[in-house]
Amino acid sequence: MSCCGGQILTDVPDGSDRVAGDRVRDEELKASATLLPDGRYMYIFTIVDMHCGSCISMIEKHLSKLKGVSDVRVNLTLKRLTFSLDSSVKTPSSIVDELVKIGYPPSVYINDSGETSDITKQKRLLIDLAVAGFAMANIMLLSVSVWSGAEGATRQLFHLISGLIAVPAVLFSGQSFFSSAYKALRAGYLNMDVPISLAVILTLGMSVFESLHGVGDAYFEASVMLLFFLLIGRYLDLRMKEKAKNVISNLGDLSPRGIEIKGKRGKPVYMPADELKPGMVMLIKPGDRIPVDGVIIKGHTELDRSLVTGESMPVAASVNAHIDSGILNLSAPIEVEVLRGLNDSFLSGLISIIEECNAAGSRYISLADRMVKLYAPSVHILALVAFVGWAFFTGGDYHTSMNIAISVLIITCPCALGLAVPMVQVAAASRLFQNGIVLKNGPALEKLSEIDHVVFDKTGTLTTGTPQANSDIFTNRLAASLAHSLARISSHPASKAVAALLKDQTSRKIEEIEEIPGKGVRGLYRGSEIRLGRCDWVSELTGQSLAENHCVGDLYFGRKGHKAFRFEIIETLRPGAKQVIDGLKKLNISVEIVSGDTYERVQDIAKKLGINTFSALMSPQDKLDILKTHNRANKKVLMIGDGLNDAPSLSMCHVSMAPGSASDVSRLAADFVFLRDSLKAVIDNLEIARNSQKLMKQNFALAFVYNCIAIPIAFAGLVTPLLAAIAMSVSSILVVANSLRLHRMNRSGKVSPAYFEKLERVSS
Amino acid sequence: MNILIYLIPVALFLGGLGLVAFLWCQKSGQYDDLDGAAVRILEDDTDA
Repeated sequence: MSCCGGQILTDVPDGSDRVAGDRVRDEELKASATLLPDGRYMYIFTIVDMHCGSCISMIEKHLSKLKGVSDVRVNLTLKRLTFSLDSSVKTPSSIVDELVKIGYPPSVYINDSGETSDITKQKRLLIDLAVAGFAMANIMLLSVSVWSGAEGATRQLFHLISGLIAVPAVLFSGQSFFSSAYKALRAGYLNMDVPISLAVILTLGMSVFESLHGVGDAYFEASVMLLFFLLIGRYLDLRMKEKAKNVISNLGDLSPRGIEIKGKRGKPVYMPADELKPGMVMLIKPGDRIPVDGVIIKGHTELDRSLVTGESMPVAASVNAHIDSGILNLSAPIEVEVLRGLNDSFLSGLISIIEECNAAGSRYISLADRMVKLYAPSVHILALVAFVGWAFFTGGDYHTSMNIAISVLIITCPCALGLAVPMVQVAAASRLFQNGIVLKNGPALEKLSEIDHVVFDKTGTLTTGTPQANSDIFTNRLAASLAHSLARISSHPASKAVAALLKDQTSRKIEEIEEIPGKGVRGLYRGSEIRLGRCDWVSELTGQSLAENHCVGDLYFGRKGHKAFRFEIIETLRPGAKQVIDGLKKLNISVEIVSGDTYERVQDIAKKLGINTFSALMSPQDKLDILKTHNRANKKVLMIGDGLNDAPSLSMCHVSMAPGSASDVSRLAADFVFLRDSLKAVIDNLEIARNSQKLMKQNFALAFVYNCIAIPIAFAGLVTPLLAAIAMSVSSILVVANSLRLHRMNRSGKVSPAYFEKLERVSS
Repeated sequence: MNILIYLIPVALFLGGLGLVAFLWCQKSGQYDDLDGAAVRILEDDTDA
């Protein structure tokens, strides 16, 4: 589906894992929309699958044609769709259906990550950059003539004009550095911004002093240039973080934030999830997700617990069964009495475990921070020593000493260090983004390069969560089309797999078609009964006794008086799974599966992938315990998982990844999110992380060597602040250029991308 | 060299125009969707 010649699908696809099974509610979509003064509602959806111009025009054209829809606008950078809707003419959920039909399934945009304030920060930085750039260019013009020998009145004039430009520009554009430095000093420690602010202010001050007194040199261009280059680094860094946060907050589920309850006189009333109280009776239809913990009081159905426990096969449940929040109702409507409110339910319990883990994990100090702790004080001490030393040496010539001290301060280049890490991170983040991987925080990249053990979840991570069916029923065309007609009406994953397998069959007319939870689907074809379902139920009909050990999980189709056909239901591995395991083994990284599913299924997948260590039937707490054991053994663990049951472990381990199809909570908890289907992302990620680490160390080495050469020269008094600024800019450029090498680095390397590509094409 | 008294303010003014233009573009949201703007040009049907 999607992009660049996107298909118009005639059937609503049940493929998109995010939307599978969850019903979309108009009330909730409306709740997230903004009311416009003329009574229309403005909606913001995110559409992750947009990549190019035809996507934009297709979406905009298609939606604008619909009645009641206006002001359709797509933002390709943020992957957002904005439109206004007259809700008396069309419902928001019909727009969602339209979008799914043309191949662009939307998600709801949730603005709870404080995004507006970050965009303002970005805009402000851009303005700072523009002002600094303007000032720098003009001052440079003037300083060229000054430095090439203007004298007397001209020189004076130019200095004054430069000063008039520089002082307001620096005071305006430098605010982000000054305020950060001030905050750090007030809190009693030094950060990168302190030497930078000092250098800028001192240079400016000196230059003003000299201009006013008519002697010596002025260095306005030095201070403005310094500011300009640093602002570039800062802006790029912020943009990278923005992009990542954006993508994450864009993937909000369409899952319910409320549900219908039995109101007065039995009428269904919509109630938001946070207002549900124990004792209320929720009416859960097929396709609804349970928002809070409850117990079934009426009805009999099958539940999909994969997001909560990782179990891949649905489980039958009826009266008195307890259901945790997050479980999906599959086959029949049930009435569920609320046991616990939203804040006490399973889901919220998970969230508090995650927050605990996050707090514990933030003790990791990245390489850059360690550098800064050493660097900032030493720079200041050096400058001070230079000042005092020279003052002593020249017998009280404060002017020269000040110059030399400033040169030392500038030349030690807060620049290279300030840029060394952000530049590599920006290059890495953009490279990762091209591969469909989102990096959420800088230190994650470093942590990833250190891992020696990987823990995989099974359902939804190693497997796609959508099972596949295999069968020999094609020998009998009639049976195949009858089975297809039955399979189509059920939302049970096994039936969906059968329906997908048989999708090219013609439908037949079936009477009295009904789904019986726990058993299967039955109907009447030309008066005789047909059944698709569990082997014991089908064998009742056909009179055969089917082999007992095949009964678990497989579906059978039978017609009265005819032989039954078997559908083998197997879990599909995610593309790239085997290659990733092999790749990891080549890199000497140990691999393990930890899953909430049954022993046989986990063993099956483990054998297919060649993994020796695996555990089954793990609850979220069990998973956490395994990670704690690894932590104690000082192993650095990468955890890859998608379900709610993985979320605490994702925060606890050294570093974590989640697929884009994961639950909200897991996506928020993970350090990386990979958007494409293939697991190849894991190896790509690892390679890029290791290369980035190498580059960062190289950058630090470069900066260090440069400093070792430059500082003695500055100390000896051979460098004017202007020369220092130029030298500093050159070193910054060197650092940036080195970081950009990241884009070339992945071509070579032990596991070649071309190899994967070929394998994927062959195996898919 | 007295011509400089005129020329420098002129240069600064022109530069300032450029800066103001940039800031205006920023405020009116033209930089919000750079990728989208880049590909919209290539679309045929919105030619007016």
